[in-house]
Amino acid sequence: MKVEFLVLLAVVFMLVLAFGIIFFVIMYQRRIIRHQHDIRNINDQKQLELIQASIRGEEDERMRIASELHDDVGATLSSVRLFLHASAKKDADPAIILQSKDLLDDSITKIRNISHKLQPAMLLQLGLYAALQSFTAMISKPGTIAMTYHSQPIPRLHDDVELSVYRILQEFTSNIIRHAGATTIELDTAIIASTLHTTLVHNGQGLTEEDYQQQIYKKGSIGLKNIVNRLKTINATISFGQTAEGKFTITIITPLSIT
Amino acid sequence: MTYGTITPATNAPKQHNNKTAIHLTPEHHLDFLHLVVLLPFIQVVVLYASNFSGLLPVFTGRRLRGLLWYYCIASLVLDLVQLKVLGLGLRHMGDVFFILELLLVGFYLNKKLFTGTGKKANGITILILLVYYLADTFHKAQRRTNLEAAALLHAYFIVILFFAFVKIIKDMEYIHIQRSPFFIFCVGFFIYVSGSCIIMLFDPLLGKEYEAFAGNMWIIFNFLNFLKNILIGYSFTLKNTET
Repeated sequence: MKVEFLVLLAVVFMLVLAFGIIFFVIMYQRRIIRHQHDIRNINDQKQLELIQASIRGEEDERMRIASELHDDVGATLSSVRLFLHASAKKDADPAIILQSKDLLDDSITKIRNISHKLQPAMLLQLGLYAALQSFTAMISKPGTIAMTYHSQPIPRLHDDVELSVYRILQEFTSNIIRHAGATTIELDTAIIASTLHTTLVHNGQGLTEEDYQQQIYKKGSIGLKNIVNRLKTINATISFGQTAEGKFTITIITPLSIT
Repeated sequence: MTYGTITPATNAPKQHNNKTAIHLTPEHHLDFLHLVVLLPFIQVVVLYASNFSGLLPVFTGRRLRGLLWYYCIASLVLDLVQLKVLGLGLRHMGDVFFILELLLVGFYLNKKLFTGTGKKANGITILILLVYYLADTFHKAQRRTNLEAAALLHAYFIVILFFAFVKIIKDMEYIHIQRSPFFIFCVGFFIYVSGSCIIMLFDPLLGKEYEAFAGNMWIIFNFLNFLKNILIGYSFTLKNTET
């Protein structure tokens, strides 16, 4: 009886073990599938948010251009029209004509600025290095914000890399001026081992890595989501930190070759 | 492959009854008697179900014509030989079957699971096992199937099927695993080899004294064979079956 029992026990044990392994495989596979499904859902959600952010960013940009054209350039041109209309009634008054000329110059500058923001001609023609020099000069306003740019001349990069890096820096600079309350911004670019290292250092209230991660998953934060989109398209990485003096840094590392 | 004859079970009731009746309550005794009466019947039913279940995979896989299908043919032929349907009575038919099982299922799994060096190593393992089986069988020169060596072959299959389950989990080719023909085959074959390995290992050791018990153990074997045939037959009906 003892031998019979032991043999039976061995067979039963082996079968239970076999069924156990099969059950484990089924459950484990289901768990992995569920996990992958969750990850896919999160990614889809994130992708959707990025697309929405991109669309809203585009709409905001259009609204900003429309308001700049309407409120700024439109108003100036209306004044010029009034001055010219007044001068047509009287004999030519040199003061009015000069004032009109000044207003037209002002309008031309404004239109040039808008055009430059929309399509930085310098970036397309002369490359990132020249475009960033021009951009730095445009941002700096004595008494309000001082922006400096240090770099060795950068060779021409892939169009997408140049445009994306430029737009990302535009967005970050705009955020630093509007939200961080910085008074100085230092921009550095360098080519290190087939990657472009771009660093922004400012003395305002900057973002930490944690803040950045929280912000990009939050609703809104269209600017940051656009940055994430652009970083993705050029396979770039971003990191946030602080210098010993307490200044905030943003570093973007972009591979020079795009696949 | 189906194993066992109807005769050993006729001894079973006497032996079990004599040994255990003292310890049983009247209710248990009644249940036990029922089982004792039913046992030969169960044995016959399971034996025939096991033998003829081989027809299912042979039928469902007739268009696939792969290694597995030929294995099912070999299994069915042996089953019918054992039932004397084909009028043959070869002494080493079981040995021939286990060798075919090793080669057909072994190389099928080798093709499905391994690549490169792993494939070569497993192929060599199969050949070593084949040589061992043949050498051991000729060396023993016994009048029955070499079940100890066959148990070793099934132990080898247990290890390989374990790799198969790991691969199934890793590859994740199917969202519903029950739709994977390879998984269904692995389940059927894994259950079959797990039970049969122990049964075949102990059967020669039990000897004359436990002949009736060994006969009853083959009921389990036949049931596992039945289950294996049904699952392989089902796996052949699933899409993307590769044999």
